[in-house]
Formats: sequence, C-alpha cells, structure tokens
Amino acid sequence: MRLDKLDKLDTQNQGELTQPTLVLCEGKRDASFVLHLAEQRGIKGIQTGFPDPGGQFKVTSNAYGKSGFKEYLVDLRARTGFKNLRHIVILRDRDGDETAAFKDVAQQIAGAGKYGVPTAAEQESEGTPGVIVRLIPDAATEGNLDVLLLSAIDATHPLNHCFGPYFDCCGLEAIPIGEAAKIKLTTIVAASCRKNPSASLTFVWSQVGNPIPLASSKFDDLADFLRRFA
Amino acid sequence: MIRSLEIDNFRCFKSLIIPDIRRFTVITGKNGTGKTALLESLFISSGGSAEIYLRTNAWRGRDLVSFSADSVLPIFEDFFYKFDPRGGLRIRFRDSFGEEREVCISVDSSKVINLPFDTKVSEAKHSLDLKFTWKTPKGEFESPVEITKDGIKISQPVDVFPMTYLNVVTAGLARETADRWSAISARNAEGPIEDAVKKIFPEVIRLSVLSPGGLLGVYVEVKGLERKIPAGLLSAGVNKLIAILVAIGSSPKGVVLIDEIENGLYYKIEKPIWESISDFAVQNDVQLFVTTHSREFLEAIAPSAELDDKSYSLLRMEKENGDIQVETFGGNEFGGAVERGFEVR
Repeated sequence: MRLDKLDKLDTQNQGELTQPTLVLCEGKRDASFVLHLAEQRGIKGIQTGFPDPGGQFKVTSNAYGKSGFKEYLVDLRARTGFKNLRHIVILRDRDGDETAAFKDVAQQIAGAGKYGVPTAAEQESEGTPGVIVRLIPDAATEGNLDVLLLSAIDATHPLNHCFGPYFDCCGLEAIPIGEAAKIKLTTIVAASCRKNPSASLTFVWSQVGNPIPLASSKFDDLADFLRRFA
Repeated sequence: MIRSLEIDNFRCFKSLIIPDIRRFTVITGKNGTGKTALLESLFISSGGSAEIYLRTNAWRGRDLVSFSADSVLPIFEDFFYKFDPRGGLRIRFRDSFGEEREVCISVDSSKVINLPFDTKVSEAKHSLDLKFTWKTPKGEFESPVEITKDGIKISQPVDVFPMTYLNVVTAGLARETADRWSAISARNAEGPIEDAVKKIFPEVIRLSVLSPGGLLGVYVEVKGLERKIPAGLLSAGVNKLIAILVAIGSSPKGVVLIDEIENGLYYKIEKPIWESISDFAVQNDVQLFVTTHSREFLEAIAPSAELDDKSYSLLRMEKENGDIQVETFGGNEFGGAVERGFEVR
C-alpha cells in the first residue's frame, strides 16, 4: 500500500519514526485504542505500531499479531527515525498466564537481536531504545484488550438490563474470558452505534453512540503508564 | 570489489567512514545529504588525473567556460569541506583483497607562484596552490596542474580503476553508450545485453551502433517499423537500460555508479529491470552503487535484498547538526523493512 493512501494508523505504523516512544500493539484495533486514549489524555511523544498481517509486501513471513513482534523489531531498525527512538513499549494481552505472556514477548525481543531484553513486565531494558513489556488489561487481570474495554462501559448504559440476560443465554462461561469479552463487546458496539452497527474497534472511537468512554477511570493506569515514556 | 570507504574534507563530508560495503549498495536520503557527493568521491578516487575533478564539476553544472586566476584553487575549492582547502582532502577505499586506493589534494606550500608585473592584486587573501596525489597498489602518482596562458595543463591519467558513472547527464550521452557498445561488440559480448533489453521490451528486435551523418548512437530495430531508430527515440526506459547494461559490460571487475536509477523507468518494469541489471553485474563481477528517491524501486529490489543479505546494503544519508551521517543496513534488514512498508528513504 502506498504511503500516501494510508490512514493515520498506517502512517504511524509505516512512516518515519518521529516520536521518542513507539507503542507496539498486537494489531490495528489495539493501536487505534492507544492512539485515541493518548489524544484524549493529552499524552504526547508516542507513535503506535502493529505487525500488519503479512505487511503489504512481506513475502518471507506471515507472522502477525502477538507472534509478529520479533520480525517487526528486526525490520524496525532500518526504518527512518529509528536512531532517535528512546523507548519501545510492547502491549500484549495477558491472557490466562502472566508469566507465559511476558516470557513469550521476552523471547521474541531476544530473537530480534540487538535489543536489550527486559527482565520483568513494566521494567525497561538496558540499551537504546529501551524496551518495556506491558500486559493488558494488567499483570494481575486475566484477559485481553476487550476485557479492559468492557470494564469501562458505563454501568448506566440504557441496554445494560438486556445485555446481562442475553449474555447468560449465550453460554459464554464455557469459553475463555478474552473470547467472551470480544463477543460481549461486539454486541454492545453493534447495539450502540446505530448508524454503523458493524463498526470495528479500530473505528468505534469516532462513531456516534460509541459506548466506550475514553475518560473512564479504568484506563487511568494504562494512561499513566504510557505517560512515563512520553 | 570495494569493501570500505573513508572520506575526509570532501564536499559535504567532514569525516565519513563506511566500513561495510557489498556488491549492491543502495543510497537513500533527503536532498542535500550527499548521495551524489558519495558517488563523486568514489569516481574521483578511481581516476588518475586532476582532470576527473573538472569533469565531475561539469556534471554539476560548474563548467569551466572561462578562466582567469593566478591559482588553481578557485577551480577546485568546491571539492573541499566548507570550501576550506587548508586541511586538504582525502578519499580512500579498500577492496576485498585488502588493497587500498587513495586520492589526496593538499595545499602545496613548496610551489612558487609567479605573478606577471601587470597583475592587479584584488584579493587580500593569500594565493594557494594544490597538489593532487593518487596512491594505488602500483605506487604513488602526482597529477600536476599548471596554469598557462593557453589554459590549464593537466597530466594524462595513470592506473585508472575501472569505474563508470551514470548520472543525469552521462546516462543520456549517446556517443559514450555507443562507444562502450562497440567495445563490447568487438569482443562478441553484446548478446546478453541485447537479450536483456528484448526480454523487457519485446518490441525490440535488434540493437546496433550506427553513425548516420556522424551522429553516433545505439539504434534499435523495432517490430512494425521499417527503419532503425535511435534507442532514445523508442523510450527513455530503453535508453536507460541500455546505458546501464553497457556500462556494466564495459567495466568488468569494476564499479558502476548510477545516480537516481529510477529516472526514465516505468515503475512496473523496475523489478525485471533490476533483475536483469543485477544478474548482468554478477556475471561481469561488477559492483553497483545506486542512489534513489523511489519507493517503487526499493520495493522492486527488497525481496532480493532480504534473501541475499551478504550482497546488499543500504546507506541512508542524513544531515545532523550540519554534518552528514551515514547509517548502514544489511540486505536482510532493509529488504524486510521495505517489504513491511516501512519508510527507509
């Protein structure tokens, strides 16, 4: 895809690195959330990135999402502006096991070579740029970005009394918490954004009726964390 | 093959060391960051006479139309970093056999300057004269430059390194391309060039050198036309490809420098053109240095670069605090970055 045809997220993901901190997310929808959260909280100095599924040209690899950090970090070094980068914050879903989630990212960082490897989540590695791993929703909470976003939906949402029984009927207790959160969130977004019920999390932020308030206190911890590297 | 390059006080470079140069070196960077100057540094070091400086300057639009001075300094001062010749300049490269080639210009304080009695001295600064020296594996040579009433006298080149420089001016010179083609044809070695051109431009039937009315040039026989036409009339792309292939064919075991390689090439044929050029360069053991601003060209070479790390490198020139810096990346790194869609220019 040509750079002049990219949207803001793609431009941030592929264009020149102009900010001191790169927040590397699993995918575009995660990056969109971080970008909008940073704008809402007035956090400057960060640029978002994500391992695009195979990139537009990448022929030698199809690693993407949480498996794509290693190759992204390898390719990142030749990108214009890299030498001015001070921090790389990697956001990864915690899923069910905090230790396994951190270890997976640490191994990818080590595999990319030439980067310092952090010894624990939220600790910055030696070297420049320093690399930091932050788990989502947080180190102590099982789940993923959807769990975090779901927690921020206002308890006074007018359809809340309908969502509860409906989700009970869906049998979501039988599937992992992160997958269940995706189903719930998609349902709530579709019911809330009447003009674009199929809005994805990448684009929900600009939709009329967006049910996820970026000002929610549930995002304060992440926002404060990002601010440390801004 | 050139493996490393050191430059001191040349053009925009105060001091520059490039320690890892490979067969295919791609040079990127914004305008004014020294991409062309880097090619010029290589070209000048390949010569064996001060004449090569004047040619290089002429391609920059600095023609020596008229000359009146009591020192050669004004002619050569723009080769020095910040136009200051006092520290001299030096360009040195080392090849894959560990042999070195070095060119220096230094202020020649031993030289006596004779001024005629009627000279009106209009400048307060002292006149300086310059000494041009080449050090090659065969020895050390000086290339004296003398000012005479008839012009500048410069010695013949000695121990020239096989290097061809294609820039905006020289890539379009029909006579030079035709001369090179003739030399290759005399060795019966033009076949691969013709085949490569025909593969990418199927309308071409045959290439030949003609001189109608004394206008020497490479001509093409084209399907559907009853007469041969100059290559440049068929298309700028054909002309450019022929110029590059002929330059490679006439510089075996040498170097070809190509400034802004994408000029004249339609973006969709850049990949097959690069494949032809790079294959022919390997066949002739030729090293290529190319500058580019083109994303399409980088995309065309990225897959090859990523898979052949040892043959490719990217030099990105950047201006930092007024000085030029170079970042070097191997083929795997820059090829992967381009394929991911990252900006590397």
